[in-house]
Amino acid sequence: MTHVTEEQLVLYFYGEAEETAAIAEHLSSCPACRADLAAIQRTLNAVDGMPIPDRGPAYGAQVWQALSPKIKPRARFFPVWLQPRQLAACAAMATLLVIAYLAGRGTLPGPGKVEVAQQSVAARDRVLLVNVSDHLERSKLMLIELTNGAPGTLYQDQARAEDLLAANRLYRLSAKRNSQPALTDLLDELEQTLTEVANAQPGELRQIQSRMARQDLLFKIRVVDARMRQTQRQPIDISSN
Amino acid sequence: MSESDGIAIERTIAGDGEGFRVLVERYSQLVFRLAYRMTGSEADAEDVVQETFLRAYRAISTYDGRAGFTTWIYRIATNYTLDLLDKRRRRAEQPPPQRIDQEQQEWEFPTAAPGPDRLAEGSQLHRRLHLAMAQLTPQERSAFVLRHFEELPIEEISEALSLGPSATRHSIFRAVQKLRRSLAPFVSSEL
Repeated sequence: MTHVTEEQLVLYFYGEAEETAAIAEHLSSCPACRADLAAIQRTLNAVDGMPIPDRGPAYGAQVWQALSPKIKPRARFFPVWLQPRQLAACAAMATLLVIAYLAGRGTLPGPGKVEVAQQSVAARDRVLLVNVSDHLERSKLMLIELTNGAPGTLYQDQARAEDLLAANRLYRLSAKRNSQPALTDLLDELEQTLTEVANAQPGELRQIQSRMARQDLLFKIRVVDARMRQTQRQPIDISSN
Repeated sequence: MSESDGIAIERTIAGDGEGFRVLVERYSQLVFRLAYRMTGSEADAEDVVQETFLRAYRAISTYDGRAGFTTWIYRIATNYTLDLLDKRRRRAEQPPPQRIDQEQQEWEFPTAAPGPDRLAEGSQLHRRLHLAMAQLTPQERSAFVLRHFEELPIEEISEALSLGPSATRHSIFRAVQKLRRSLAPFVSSEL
């Protein structure tokens, strides 16, 4: 190997070189390149000495104090009078009825059968996406309130968890039938949490909150929901079905 | 209970300002350090911290979790800092920085040079370091700071700076090369 270039040495120093093994081998037998690498290290060690003004441990709180008056509260997704209670199970049932109808259209005999079937599959998936997305949104809001709730407010979340649980089961089965493993897994995990919440005693709230924090369930919901909403925005392409 | 970034983000999106407070308190020091290293000015770094979190708050519903929250906030901070430096450079309408081995021009850097408060104190090495950093282009400085100080992998730096991996690598190399040239005589005598 010819001498290592300066660029290779710099990238090697940072562990980003493409031919790491070859460079290491060359360095072991080339004093000139080793000296060059040592010079780079000396420069970068000196750069490490660049002082940063100390802001102290309370800096974050100070920034928040200055920032908070400039931040307008974000609007909540649902007004108080339109809580997800009662709506969840009805929405799930309605979705499944629509899906069943579209699936039935897809099996109609006749010359237009293939095209109708393709459109039906795409439309069925879209209906499921929209409704599951709404379901995830409602679940997320309930879980957020649960995360911040005190033991005395658990009973409110339990009523909502029961409603969401019924819908969740239907959506999970639907997702499984439609071969959507990521969504099925998420709904499965959500179902476990909803079941725990629905059956919890007030003294168990902290335990549930800790487990939710560990599992990062809210974050997983958000990621899947964001992807689903992105898919919803794409036009239906029947040629891909 | 230490709240995860994920939960804090969800709370913020749901309209709970306390969720965002968690993120601000957790990441303010980090953003300040990054901004200070990029600008060399405490006042500018403070400005970057405030603006970064304001922008993050407005855009948080677009955060999709593909990159870590640190990378996302770095991207906002870096973009704002680059804009700030660019505007300042245009406003100054001065020629590009000269080589620092020309003694008479040693303190004349129009962009991101340390303020008088920083020049008045500190060791010669520290002053040299600030000047050497001021010699880098904003892109080189950003890539270098993110790699050297924040230890982000190339992929995340590329994401944060909206650059290709090759361009990112090259920017880091150019930064180190310039620092070597600027500091070579000083480093060899100092160490």
